[in-house]
Amino acid sequence: MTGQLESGPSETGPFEMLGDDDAPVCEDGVCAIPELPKS
Amino acid sequence: MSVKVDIWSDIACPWCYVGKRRFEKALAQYEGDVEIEYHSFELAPDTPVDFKGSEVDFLSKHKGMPAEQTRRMLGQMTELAATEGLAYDFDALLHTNTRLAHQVLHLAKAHGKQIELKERLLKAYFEQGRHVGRVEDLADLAAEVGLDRDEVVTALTDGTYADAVEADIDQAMEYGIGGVPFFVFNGRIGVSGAQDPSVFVGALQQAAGASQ
Repeated sequence: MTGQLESGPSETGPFEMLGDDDAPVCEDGVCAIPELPKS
Repeated sequence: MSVKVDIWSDIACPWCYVGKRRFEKALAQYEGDVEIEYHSFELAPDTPVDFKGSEVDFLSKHKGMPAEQTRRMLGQMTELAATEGLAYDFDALLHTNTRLAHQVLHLAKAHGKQIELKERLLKAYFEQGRHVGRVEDLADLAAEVGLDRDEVVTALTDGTYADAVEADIDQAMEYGIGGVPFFVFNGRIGVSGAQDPSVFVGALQQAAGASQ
């Protein structure tokens, strides 16, 4: 399912987090709106 | 040194399939040993097994999104998935509850077939318009990856792996995982979302280096 804009969390539990904080995820039944690659 | 990667994801999760492809690209670039285990996460546990309507209907009625916005967004998701070699078909998609699908994935793990079944279920859901919420349909799909169909039916009917699914979801809550896909490397490094493959490669290298 895809839905409203949600972005990846920057802090999660006991982990050392790597990567882009805004990487797309699905959360609570809705998902990040995709940004299409620039042509 | 082998790296253990625990992945929380759902079937009804377009970014989980995209993230899986990007993670696989990273695996192709990484030369070390990697052990992968998928864990259950339910994005919409209140979804009925036999939802009557399309994906647009589900998002419009249940999530309050305007239909036109939903259609546009699904179109964008389809285009993006295509860049990863995935042929999403939201018109054919059968929206359903994924609790039983997660139970089969636990059974598959017990038989060393979890990764094969995870791919099969995602493909069935997003590309083929197959139902992934009913016992008989799941048994058919599980049999395609070599699992015993009768064993699947019995396990799902008896709820053999219901507690295992619950334990995964509880673990995610304990970790504070709110969105999926979510990757954990050697229990120490977290990566949230469908990241670029280079991020996964970095996580694998860092996890392997730390464990030497």
